Amino acid sequence: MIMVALSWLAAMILGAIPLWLSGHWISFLDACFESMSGFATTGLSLAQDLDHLSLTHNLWRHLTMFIGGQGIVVVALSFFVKGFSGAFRMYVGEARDERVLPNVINTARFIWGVSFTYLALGTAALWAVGMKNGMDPGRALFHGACIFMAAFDTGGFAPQSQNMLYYHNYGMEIITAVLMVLGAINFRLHYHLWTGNRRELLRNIEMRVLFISVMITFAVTAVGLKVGGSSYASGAPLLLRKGFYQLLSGHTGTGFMTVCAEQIGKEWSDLALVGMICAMALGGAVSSTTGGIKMLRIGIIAEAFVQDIKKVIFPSRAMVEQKFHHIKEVFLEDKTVRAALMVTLAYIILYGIGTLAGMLCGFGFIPSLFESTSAAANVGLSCGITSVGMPAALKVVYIFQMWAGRLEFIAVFTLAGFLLAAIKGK
Amino acid sequence: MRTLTVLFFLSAALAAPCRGACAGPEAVSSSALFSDPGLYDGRTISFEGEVIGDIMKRGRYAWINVNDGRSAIGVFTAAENVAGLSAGGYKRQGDIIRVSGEFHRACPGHGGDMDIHAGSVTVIIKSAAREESICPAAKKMAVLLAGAICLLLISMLYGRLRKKR
Repeated sequence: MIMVALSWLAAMILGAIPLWLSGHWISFLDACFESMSGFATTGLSLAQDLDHLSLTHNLWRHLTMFIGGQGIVVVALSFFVKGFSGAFRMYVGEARDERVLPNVINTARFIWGVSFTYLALGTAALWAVGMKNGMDPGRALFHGACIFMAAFDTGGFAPQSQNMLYYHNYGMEIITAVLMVLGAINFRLHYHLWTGNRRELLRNIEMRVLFISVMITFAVTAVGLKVGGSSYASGAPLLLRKGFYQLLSGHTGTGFMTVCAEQIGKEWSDLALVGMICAMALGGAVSSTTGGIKMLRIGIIAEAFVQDIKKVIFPSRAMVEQKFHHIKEVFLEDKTVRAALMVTLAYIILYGIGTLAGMLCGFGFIPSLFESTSAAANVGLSCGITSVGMPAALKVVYIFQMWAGRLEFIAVFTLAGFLLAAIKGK
Repeated sequence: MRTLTVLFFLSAALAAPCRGACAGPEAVSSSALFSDPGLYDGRTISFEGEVIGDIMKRGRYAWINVNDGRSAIGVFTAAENVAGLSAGGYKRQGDIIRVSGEFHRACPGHGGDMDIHAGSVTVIIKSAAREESICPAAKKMAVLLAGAICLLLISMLYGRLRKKR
């Protein structure tokens, strides 16, 4: 676990070196921020003059997402390790709760198999759309590969400074929306889909909770846009391309934007921002490339809530059993609920830490909460706080949030415990 | 990069008298457009900046993205207006152009994009080659950091090997 936590910090430093050398990041801290944002698939960026960045550096930014999305440990297990006793612990330390296959190394290889297959298909689709949009074949291929890596790994970087707004094309938005959802699905579910068990998609608790959650948060955001008098609420096409796309991007933890960060901060009402914040905080499925609390935990907490209500309503002698479907039928146990609640609480505290730091730096409550949730849930949407000029302390807080949020705390707590024990001399 | 920014603003300042001579729509910066888009919505404005990325021709029309040094904005115009334009990238500074047209805070015809429907596109400064160099201090620091990380990794591997024996 300690090795996992440290390897992510080492990856951040190593990944920042080429970025810093390019001269497009004004300090090494900014390059570290970008690197951690890439590896943790967040997508917040501090790049300067991104439109003149070399293709190599731009490709490196997107590759960090592709590596980090699958997991640095998964890379090691897939390609460099033959198998050792600590493999599963390391795998779990990287926020992968479930094995797809009985052997953890085969699981890691399956994850890469899925990713490379989608890489080929997704890049080809984006390449075709790019060329149809009037881009050169070479540049369309480069943009297609970069956008795929950022979409499937729910990262959110884009090769140009305007992010997805650069393309002015709904075809690009539709393909990236599909890729974002694929990235937000549990790799175990991918396995079942690949082996022909498509019914699992409809029965799985995570998919059901994801659907309900997207609908509720979108309704809140849409009402917020309408109440705030936003132009995006003037018709269904605009609401879908601006409101729903941003919402889906936030919920899946991607962070692609088809509006400017300043527009979100200044033109979206507080209610619309609250809808977005809730979507970002909840995240996608466990064992996917997304961040946030995750759908399985929300589903488990909801099931426990229903069970407790039933216990109150039914006679005291009645045995109330609650079960849910996640790949197989699972009976709800107290220890499962406890684990889900603990991680949820840890995320809420992490969101709070960043919000407090933002407010201490002079930003308002809602913008601070928005940016903090975006960093900690590895989303990457911004309402304008993340910029080169923000205080260095806030950059450090966001780096910590991205790291802790990506690793889902266990590895971070273990490292903290180890350091405390070392200080105490035990 | 700082030199390029200075050159950009110097060029813009030199081009300013020409702007006065041919009085046209109000020149607006991206900061002004982003900070109060409602104020300019539906109005004819003039916007200056560098063409970046790609010239995306789509039939009779084309999309370009113009960056004024702070932010970029999409420009939708007739394909003939972008003929011969060069877009900026790593090796080239793109054409610095002035576009005049209607600004949309959330264009209903383009899925709500903030854009300018430009009637005219004028090249102010032609594109030129650009070069970037690595800062020597950054290079030294990078070598030091990479060395330190490599040493750390080697020591960790050595420790594991010793433990195994």
